[in-house]
Amino acid sequence: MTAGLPGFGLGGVFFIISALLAPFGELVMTARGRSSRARWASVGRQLLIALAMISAVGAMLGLAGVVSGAGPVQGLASFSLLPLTGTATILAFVLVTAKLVQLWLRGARRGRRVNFERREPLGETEAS
Amino acid sequence: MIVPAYNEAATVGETVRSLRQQTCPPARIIVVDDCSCDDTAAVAEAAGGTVLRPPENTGSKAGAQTFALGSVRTELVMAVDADTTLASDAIELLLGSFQDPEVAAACGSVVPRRVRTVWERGRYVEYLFAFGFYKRIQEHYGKPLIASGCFSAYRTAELRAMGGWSTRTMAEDMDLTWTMYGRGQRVRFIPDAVCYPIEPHNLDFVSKQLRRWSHGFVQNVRFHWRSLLDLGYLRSMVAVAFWDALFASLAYVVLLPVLAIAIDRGILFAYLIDAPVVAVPVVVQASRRREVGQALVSLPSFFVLRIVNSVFMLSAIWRELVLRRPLLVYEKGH
Repeated sequence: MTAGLPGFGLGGVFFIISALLAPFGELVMTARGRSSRARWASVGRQLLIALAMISAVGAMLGLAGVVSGAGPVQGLASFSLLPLTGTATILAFVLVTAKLVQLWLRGARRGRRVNFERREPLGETEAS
Repeated sequence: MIVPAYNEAATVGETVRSLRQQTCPPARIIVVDDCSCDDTAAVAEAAGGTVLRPPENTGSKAGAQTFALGSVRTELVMAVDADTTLASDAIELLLGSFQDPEVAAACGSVVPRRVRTVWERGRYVEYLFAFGFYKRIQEHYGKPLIASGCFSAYRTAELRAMGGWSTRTMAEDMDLTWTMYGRGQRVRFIPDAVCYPIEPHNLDFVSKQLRRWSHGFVQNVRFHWRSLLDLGYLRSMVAVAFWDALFASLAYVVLLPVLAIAIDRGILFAYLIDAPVVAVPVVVQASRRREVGQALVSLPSFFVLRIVNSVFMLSAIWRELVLRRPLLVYEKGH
C-alpha cells in the first residue's frame, strides 16, 4: 500500500482507479476555478503512469503467450476477467463497508444526542 | 529545526551541515542529544548545531522532539532525523506550502542515501514506488497518508496545541498527521523536496524498524478509526491499507506457501506476479533521478522486503488486536 505496508492487491488497484478518476474531479475543480496548470500536469502524469501499469499487465500476458508458443494475441485472450472482477468486488466491499460503518456511527451519535435532548430537566422531574 | 539524536555521532555532523547549506537555512538548528553514550553532542556542536540535553533519556524520537519544542521561537518548525540529509532546496520548497493558512504540516520525498544491501535496495524501490505514485495521488486528493517523520515541517502553534509529538503510538508521524486531519487542517506533500535518510542495512535493524512501523500502524488505526470515518478519501485509504496489511500478508506468509506445497510449486510465481506493474512507476521515478539501472537491479529486493513486511504486519495485528499486548518500548532501528 505504501512504504512499510505490505501488499499490492487492493492498494494498487485503489490508487490506479484513483488516478483514472482524478481528471474527472479536476474538471469539476476547473469549473469552480480552483484548478491550475500544475494540478493538471500532476493529474496527467499520474494518469499516464496508471495507464502504463495497466498496459504492463497486457504486455506480460502477451509475452506469456509468446513464451508458451501460443502467440501474443492468444496470450491476451487467455486473460480471465475473474481475478479483475473479484478484486473490484472486494475493493467495493471494503469501501462500502467503511462508509456504512461511518453512517451507522453517525446515526448512533445522532440518536444519543436526540435522547439526551428529550430528557426532562432534572429540576422539573423533581418538582413533579 | 529540531534534530532528535541518540548515539548518532557518525551521522549527525553531516545532517547539520546539510541543513546549514540550504538555500533557505533554518533560523536555529536544535540537536536534542537524548542522553547519548557517544560523541553526538560534540559532533553536532562542532558542525554548528545548538545542543539541548534532556535530564534523562526521553525514550523515543517523539519525546526528544517534544522536549525541544518549548525552545522554538519561530512560526514554523521542522524535524529531521539525525541520519538524514536534505537536497539543498528542500526546506525552501516545503516552506512555500505554508502560504496557505490551512496547511498545518508539509512533507517531502524520501530516497535512501545508501543503496547497497538487499534491505536498502528493497526500501529504495519501495520509496520510488510510494513517493512516485501513491503519495502523489494522495496529495492530489488532499490527504497524504503520513507526513514522514524523517523530514517534515509544521506550524509551531498547531503543534503546541496538540501537545507536540505524541508517544502514545510507535508511529508518531502517522499519529500527528491523522490528528491534524481530525482537526480540519491540511497536510501537503511536496514531491521535489527530497531528503536522504540512511536506511537499515541488515535484517536486525530492518526488523526493529518494521516492528515499530507495523505496530504503529495498527495502534493508529485503533486510536483514530472513529475520526477517520468522517474523512472520505483517508477513510478509504486506511480501510484498503488495513485490508492489505491483513489479507495480503496472510496470502504471502501462509496461503501461497501452503498452496505451493499442496498443489504446484509454480504457484510461488504469484510472489512476483505484479512485478511489471510495480516496475512502471519505479522506472518512471528512477528515470527522473537518472537511476534506472540501479532501480532495475534493486527491483527483486523489493519482493523480499515485502514478504518480511508481511510477517511483521501479521505479528503486529495479532499482538495488538488479538492478544491486546501493545508494543510500548521504542527500539531504535539504526
